[in-house]
Amino acid sequence: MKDPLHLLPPVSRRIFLEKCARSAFGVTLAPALGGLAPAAFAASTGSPAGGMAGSAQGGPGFGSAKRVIFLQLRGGMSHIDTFDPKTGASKGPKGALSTKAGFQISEFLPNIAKVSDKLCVVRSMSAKVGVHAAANYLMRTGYDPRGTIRHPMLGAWGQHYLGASHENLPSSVSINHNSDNGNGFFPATYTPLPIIDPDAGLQYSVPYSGIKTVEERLALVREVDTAFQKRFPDENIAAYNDFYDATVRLMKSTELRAFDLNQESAATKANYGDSKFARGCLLARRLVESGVRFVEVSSGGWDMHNNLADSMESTGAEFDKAYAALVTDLESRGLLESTLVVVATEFGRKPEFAGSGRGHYPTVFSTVLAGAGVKRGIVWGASDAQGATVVEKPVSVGELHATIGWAAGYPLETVVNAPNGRPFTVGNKSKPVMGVFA
Amino acid sequence: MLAALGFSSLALVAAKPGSKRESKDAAAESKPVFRPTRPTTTEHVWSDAAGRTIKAELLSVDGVHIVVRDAEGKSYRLNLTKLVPADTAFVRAAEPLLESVPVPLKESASRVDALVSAGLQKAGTTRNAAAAEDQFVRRLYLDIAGRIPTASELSAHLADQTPDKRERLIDTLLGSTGYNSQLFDWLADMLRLKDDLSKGVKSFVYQEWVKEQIAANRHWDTLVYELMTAEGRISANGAVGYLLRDRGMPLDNLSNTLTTFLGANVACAQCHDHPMANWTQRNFYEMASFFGATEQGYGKGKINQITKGGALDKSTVVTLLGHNLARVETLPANKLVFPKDYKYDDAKPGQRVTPKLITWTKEDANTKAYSGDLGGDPAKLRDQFAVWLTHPDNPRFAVAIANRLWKKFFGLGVQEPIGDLDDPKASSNPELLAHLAAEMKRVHFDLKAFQRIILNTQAYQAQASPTPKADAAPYAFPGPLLRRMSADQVWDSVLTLAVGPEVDRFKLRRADEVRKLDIDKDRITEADLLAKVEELKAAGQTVRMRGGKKKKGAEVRSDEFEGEPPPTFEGLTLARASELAQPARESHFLRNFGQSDRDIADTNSTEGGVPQALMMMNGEVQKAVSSPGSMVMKEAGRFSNEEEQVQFLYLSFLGRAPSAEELAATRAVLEKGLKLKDLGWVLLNTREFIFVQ
Repeated sequence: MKDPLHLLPPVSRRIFLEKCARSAFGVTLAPALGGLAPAAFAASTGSPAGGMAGSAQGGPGFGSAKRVIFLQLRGGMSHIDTFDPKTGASKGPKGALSTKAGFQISEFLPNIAKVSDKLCVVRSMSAKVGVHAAANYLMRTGYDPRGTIRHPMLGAWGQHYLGASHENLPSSVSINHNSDNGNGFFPATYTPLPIIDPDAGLQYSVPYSGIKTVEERLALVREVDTAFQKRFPDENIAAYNDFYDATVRLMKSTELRAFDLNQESAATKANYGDSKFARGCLLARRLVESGVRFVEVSSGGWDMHNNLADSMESTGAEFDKAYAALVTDLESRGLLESTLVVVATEFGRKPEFAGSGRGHYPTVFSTVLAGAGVKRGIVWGASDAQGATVVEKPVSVGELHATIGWAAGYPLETVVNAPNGRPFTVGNKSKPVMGVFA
Repeated sequence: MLAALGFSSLALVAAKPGSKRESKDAAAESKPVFRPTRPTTTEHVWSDAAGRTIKAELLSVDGVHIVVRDAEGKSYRLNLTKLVPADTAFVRAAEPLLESVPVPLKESASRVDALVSAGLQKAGTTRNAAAAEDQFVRRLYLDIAGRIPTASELSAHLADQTPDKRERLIDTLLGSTGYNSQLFDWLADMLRLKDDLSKGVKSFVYQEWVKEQIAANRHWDTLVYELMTAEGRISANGAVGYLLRDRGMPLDNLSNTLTTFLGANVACAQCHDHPMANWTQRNFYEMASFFGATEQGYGKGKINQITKGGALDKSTVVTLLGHNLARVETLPANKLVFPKDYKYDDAKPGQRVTPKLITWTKEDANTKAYSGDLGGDPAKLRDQFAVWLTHPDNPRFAVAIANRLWKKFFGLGVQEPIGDLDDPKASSNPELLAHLAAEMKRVHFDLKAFQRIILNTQAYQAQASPTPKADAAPYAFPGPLLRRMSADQVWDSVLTLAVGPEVDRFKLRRADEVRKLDIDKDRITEADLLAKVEELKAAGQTVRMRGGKKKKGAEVRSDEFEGEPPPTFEGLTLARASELAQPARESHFLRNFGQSDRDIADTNSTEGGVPQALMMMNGEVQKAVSSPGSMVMKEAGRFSNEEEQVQFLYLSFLGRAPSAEELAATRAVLEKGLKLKDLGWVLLNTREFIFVQ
């Protein structure tokens, strides 16, 4: 069965791959590339066991995340007002809650406090860029933006290394925000499927005149196309045929229900809350449950230069409720052990207040990992008393990406040469933070 | 042949060394005025050592002798060594403007065919049979005018019995407004044209400038030269858009410049020596040094200063000042230094970089492209670079654009990838590529003239071939490759069905919105801004850009079009891709079908996917085409009997009549209850519709 969401390589892609093979590996790649490629890749790089298990790639946590939910809090989440509360001069509008896990988090996040025993809070994130676009790009791709190349998001890397995650569903989905060409230098078919409105589900998936009419029309399409397709036994046309078949399967399949939030009970919806982010988180759960490997959910409104207290009461509270519900829901369905939930943001916010809010602060910030073989109820790394510098176990964005990639079972050391000939890896050659894995 | 093109080695040797100049002195001078040196005419005042002058047009160059003609039509043969040095410099610079040896079209096309045939013979294969007339016309419309032909355009051509009808159709289409749209889309991907520069500044004047160059068929060398050397405010001079686009990342800009215009892949050397090719990081910085005295400025501080406690609100100040501060200008000194992490022995971090041109072979430096003045004068740096870049003797400039245009029509470059021509072994037919480069120079970079040659070859007019298998030998061009339409071709073709050929007519005009903001001053004060606001108010206008925030779903506003605005359908503006937002919003049909995001060059994609199929089957576009209001459906309705209606729709969508079997099958389906609009859906969703044969 050919992967329906992966197009056979067009000539330019073939050249890219050939070039890749010529320059990096010195061998020709197996034709299965893009399908189930890891074995071929491991073999071509000379990795000992020719695969994952037992090879140099194995180890605690490797491959423990069958799926990843990446929550991107856009604008820059204040670490001090969320996961790294401080007293003294840096203290925010609210105090800290003690949790059963033994660490404190901000009073703005009472629901998350209750699930703290399932979380691994990373308080030692550090980066250099304090500009939204560039920092967002870095957090979503693990690379600084360049004018000459587009780097892939983690979902696209997964599709490259591990193949498609499901026969009918996309391998990665981007909820509440476009993926901004999340395929990077990989084929356009690796672009995360955008769901801009979680309540509306998958756009254009319902034929306006009924599936029966569609099938009658498609029968005629095949008839009209016969002579043309006979004349051109072309791999790109074959790929289009596959797309249409896959699309019709999807339109008819029960899996389309994965996109339909109406399948959820009112009680479940209420648990997540009534925000767009909450809907996104619930949809993410449905999707990973159905076989989508990587789902990004965006939340806006974190750029709290002004009225931080009020914004945390709204945006922060929505996040609190939805994230806590997501972790609880995954746990109760037995999915948390094989699903990695990441809370990410482009940077932190300054220890000192300017007016009613805080400015951008990349020097130290927090992210959170939960599930998939990650230690539960721990804090990784630390900032100083003001929340101004990292004093223990600094983690770069590249290392965070390598850690997620490791958990997801990506071969971190396998280099991919982009069409411009330059070499890339998940996390830009960074090492995973092994200490977070149980 | 290879050696002649400078491909035989990648050794980098020094070009003519530039004379040293104290940067301190340069800094002490007043602000330099940048003056491009490339002449636009061959008219010149010639002077000899005795001070005698003659105003005359340069006709030809023959060694040290030149032939000139004065206003009365009298010709003179002059010895350059007897004239002042500036005259020699002028001759060198003006040479590209001289008339070329004319070659009849048929002959130039058949020379290309002979080289393609030689390549085919070497590969043990032959050229495909000539494409059928209807296939050929559809391909020609798509490749030149960017859209499918209407049924009546196609029928008119098929009915024409004259033997030279293909040649005439090529000329007609090259002269059409559709051509301008199509070439704009092609260049927009290459040049990464996008509406938003940064800080709210719009690139509308730049886009309009590009459109004007296309409409005037400005030669490629002149166009590129102007992009490199443009100076001034974006509100007054659109050509600065190329450099302004990459404000804050001049090294990335240079990397793109070298890749796009020369096919030199130097991305690696930006940060370290190229691991495989011979590019060093030093080479890269020496090239970047030509832009070391170029400033792409916005002046954020000034905006804050004026906003604070001023009489104008911030958004007015940002818009007004932003478009006047966004400019390219030349600084008194070359600021470029080697980077902090420079790790090679040949220079120290922080050391100033002396500009130096790259070469591919030792012989390159002896050519005229390298003979320009390379003194370190900051005011001349960009000009020196641009003269070299666009010189006919530049080892790569002609071949890079010739190879790109070849790819546009054949689906594959003679050498791939088009952005990296550093490996001469990658050329599938070196002799052909060298000839195409020579032809490009012979026609003086006239892109239309060059395309005319390619389009008239039997190679182009042959039947298409399927995509070669991954392990196949290099493609020898038995015909063009079967291609999926580009995103803009699909969109523009769909509009042709929904709106008719009038769709070529709608022209977006947004540059005026920026131009009206122009304040012709070097230092702008709050008083200037207030005066401008008053001036606009008096004219009944506002500072707010019409291209600013739009209603969700709208690409551009209807009042941004010249004359009659285009129709809309369920939130879609039915104007050609070139006349919509650049790029279209990410959820738009165009982006779904592969329009580039315009951040990375050459990233238009023709790959398919499930979201495309969903959109084609259930989206607004198929509704627009099959609704009763669509042009093609209305016209079909004029025929009284069903058979004619069916035939008309086949002709409109697929560019051919239905076979007897197809006609029977279609009528059977219609009998069972499907309607004509369903047939529109069916034809739109065939592979035959979306692939160009």
